[in-house]
Amino acid sequence: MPEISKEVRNLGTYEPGEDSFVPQMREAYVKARPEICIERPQYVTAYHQQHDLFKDGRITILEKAKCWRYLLENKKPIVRHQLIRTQNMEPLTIQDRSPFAGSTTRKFKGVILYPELVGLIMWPELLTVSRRKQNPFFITRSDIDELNSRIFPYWMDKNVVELTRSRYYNRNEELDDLQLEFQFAFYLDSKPLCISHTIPDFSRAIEEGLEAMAAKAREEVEKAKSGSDQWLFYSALVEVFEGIMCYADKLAEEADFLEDSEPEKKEKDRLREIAETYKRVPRNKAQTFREALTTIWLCWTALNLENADVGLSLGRLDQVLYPLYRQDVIAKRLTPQQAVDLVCHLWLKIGDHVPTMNEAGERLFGGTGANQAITVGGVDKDGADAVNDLTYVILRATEFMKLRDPNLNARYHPGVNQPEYLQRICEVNVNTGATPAIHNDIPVIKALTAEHEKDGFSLEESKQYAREYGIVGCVEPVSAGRTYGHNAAILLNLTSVLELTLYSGRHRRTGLGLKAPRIGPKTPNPAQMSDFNNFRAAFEDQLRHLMDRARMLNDNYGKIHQRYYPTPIMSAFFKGPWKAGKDVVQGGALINSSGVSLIGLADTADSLSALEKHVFTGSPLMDVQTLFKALEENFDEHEALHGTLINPTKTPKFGNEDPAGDDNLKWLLEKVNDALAGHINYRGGRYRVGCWTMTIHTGIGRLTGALPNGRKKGEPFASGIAPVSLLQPRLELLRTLHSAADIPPRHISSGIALNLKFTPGSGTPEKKAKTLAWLVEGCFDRDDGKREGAMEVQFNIRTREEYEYAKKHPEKCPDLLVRVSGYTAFFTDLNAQMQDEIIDRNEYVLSEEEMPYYEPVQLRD
Amino acid sequence: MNLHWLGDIDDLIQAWLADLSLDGLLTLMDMAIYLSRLTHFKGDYYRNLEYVDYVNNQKIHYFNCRYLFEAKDGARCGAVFAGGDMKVFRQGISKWDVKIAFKDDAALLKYLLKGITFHGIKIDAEQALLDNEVQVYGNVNYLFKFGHMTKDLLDRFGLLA
Repeated sequence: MPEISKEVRNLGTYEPGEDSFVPQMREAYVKARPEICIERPQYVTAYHQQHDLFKDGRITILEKAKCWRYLLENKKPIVRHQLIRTQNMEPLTIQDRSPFAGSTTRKFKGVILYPELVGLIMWPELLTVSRRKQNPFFITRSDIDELNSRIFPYWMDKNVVELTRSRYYNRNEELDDLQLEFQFAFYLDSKPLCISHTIPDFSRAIEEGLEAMAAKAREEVEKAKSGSDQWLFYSALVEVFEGIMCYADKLAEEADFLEDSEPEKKEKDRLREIAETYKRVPRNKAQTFREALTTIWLCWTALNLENADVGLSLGRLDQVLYPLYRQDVIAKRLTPQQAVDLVCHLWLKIGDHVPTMNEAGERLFGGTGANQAITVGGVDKDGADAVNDLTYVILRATEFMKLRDPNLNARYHPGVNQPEYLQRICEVNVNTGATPAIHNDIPVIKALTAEHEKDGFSLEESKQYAREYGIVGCVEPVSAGRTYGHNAAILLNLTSVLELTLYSGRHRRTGLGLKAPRIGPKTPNPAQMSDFNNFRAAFEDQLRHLMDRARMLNDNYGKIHQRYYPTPIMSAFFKGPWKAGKDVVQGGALINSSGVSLIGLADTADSLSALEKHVFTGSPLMDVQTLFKALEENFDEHEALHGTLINPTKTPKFGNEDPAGDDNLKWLLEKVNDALAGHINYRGGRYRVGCWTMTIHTGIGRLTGALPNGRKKGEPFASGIAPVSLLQPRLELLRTLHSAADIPPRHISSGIALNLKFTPGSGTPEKKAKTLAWLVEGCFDRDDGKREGAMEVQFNIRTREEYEYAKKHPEKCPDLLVRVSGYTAFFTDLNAQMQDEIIDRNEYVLSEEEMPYYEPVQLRD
Repeated sequence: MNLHWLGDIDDLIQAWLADLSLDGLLTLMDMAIYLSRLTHFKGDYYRNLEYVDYVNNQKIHYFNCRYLFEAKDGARCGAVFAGGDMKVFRQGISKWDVKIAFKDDAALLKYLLKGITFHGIKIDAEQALLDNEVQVYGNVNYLFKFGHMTKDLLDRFGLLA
């Protein structure tokens, strides 16, 4: 275990000064409105047209790599941004002093369009997107014309959704698997949005440099049979390395050019340093901490040009970068404070783009950033403490910046990591109000080890890979650089399965009448079921059916990606493809899983518990017909029944340490895993299950009618794996933690989000952090093996009044950071329902007492 | 050519837009394409039916698509774009690239105009999704294109806010 220096322990008080330009750049960042940039779609479209890439009905990885090289070679090299658009879309000149040149788009804060994915959803809104109320994007009239008259028309029959439809669903049957997705209430398969929801491996780029990697790829080209798949693959790697190096060279030239005309000496020096750095890396191996950061930044830019900015994540940067950090500090070339400054600047660069979102998406699911997760802490591949000085540097940078992107995740291994580290993570949470999320190494490593063994790896390999996990997107643990696992491939709404069971295969959104289409199999009417086991059996039938449909669609989307959208840049920075000579999209990674995340888990579990207790067993409070009537009438005129259903002392609930409630949730997780067992995805990998919901639990909640657990029509579902809010009386915190800690990790190996909300109470931040640390220890505690320990926990630590004020005066709180369900977001970017959901979450007091005093506060009437 | 009559047409269209229907929208679109090509009435709206590529900047491609609009009560209407022109078929068409099935005109227009303020009324994008009154069969990208053309049309009459 590296000893933590006294200097970094005290970094919590370090403030980057004006001379670092961090505060000024942050201010510009918060002020800036996102601007749609057409550079990428312009070059990509032009290249595809000029080379008629669709002519053969598939695109090879080499053709695609040449397209990326063309884009990188022609991309405008921006060393200094000049302008931003402010909140009212007015231009504002800025003084860009970042030590990192280059940008994902031509804008200071850009929206990248991927027309081959979902870019075309912006077409109907090009004329209004800069005027919409929620999260408007600036766009120029000439860019609108370019998109309308040149770019979008080309992709009308070539984006992933249309290629999938025309190949697999061209009979246009009513409510086929694709149509069902567009109902939004059943499942969302996210491959039209992205496929590379993963963590690349930067270690080789840092340790060897791209020129050496290109040379090795050339050697493989020589060995391979000309024109073979492997020849195409290694030739493609050469192309992308050349493209990235060319882009770096152009940035160096631009910095040289700016330096020549720069009158101010300090800025001249800064530009010279940029030019010199970019002449060395990423072409050569990085020799300093700053060079390593530059290598990561440039490779990251290239990766985002190829792969949509949806959860693409950077992995364990405190591990990857530590050797060069340490070397520089020992050589007195770098102080921890300077390292904080550099990391702050890198964070701003990483957040220089936001994902495409149309207005309906913003209203239902909005507020998301690109969810670029970074992981720190935990253990190393041998199980030893991996926390180091750089971990503390990264924590301080995150604490100071308070940005939504990147999304910081801290690993904590009870018994191995030091209590001081946990205390520091908790301090950062108290000071930022929302970050980092904290992951429990013990159950995560246990769950991943079991998954890797199922994938055929030895126990030792499986453990090692598991210990080197990083977080993707929101909360999803994967072996960094090894797992090409599209964790968010399928978002399954479990309450839909419940509805299909209640209505014998029909759903309220698509109609319950006799002529309405049956979405699932015709299972018996619940009124005719003799006991709860019959209901469970019918539920299982509906679950398998819906899961199969979502899975088939996911596979079909995946096959379209394989045929038309190879990913040579991602494959270049991954463990596995180099040996296999195969693209990650084709299954070239070591681990090729896909993921299903469950939406509405607690609501469904609680509904099952309500049915079990009140309809099928004991002294029935209601029969099925009464229940149907109450659901249809949204519990109007059914106050007594509703009061019983939302009362955890009368109706079992998950999160109340009540086996009757918790067991139904565990049963659900087991059955979801069963429904996926034995199914292999299009890349040859297996499916994993997780439970994080981003903002989707409010969006889909808006589309869903009343449920048997007492949830009314349109209300949000519980977030992630958290229990349902707004129960009367509210659940006690410790009971909730015990319930969460009792969920078997093997059933949720794709990750969970356990959201807890605290009002800060009184006392110093140190004391609050101590209380929070105590809470995390309790939450992760295995209680002598009686429980597994919760896999993850994340916090919102602000008063209700602060959120309410921000909702009322968004212009005054543009950077109020919150945890949604998984990722961090700016509160004012969220839609009104999501804001209300956060305000209404179960809330506890973070007291200054030694032992926390948790008093559920009275929220809404 | 004396084009003063275009001012009368503008007034007529403004009145027409006050009570917009699918039939009215398609007729208006058809007319705007024709008049804009002939007289540049309201600019170059007809260019929505053209696109150019990056290989040969001079070569104009035409937007070709067959839309079928089908209301729940059985009313059908077709709009065919081909060769830079538009034709409206009030009895519908048999072959289509995209079929839009909808409850009634109000539901369709709410869907097409979602997110904008039209005649002082904000048409809620979320509500259009919640109401689930429009189903799209075939290539949904054509509907995105049609959505842009609709909004472009309204914009040219100063109705997009």
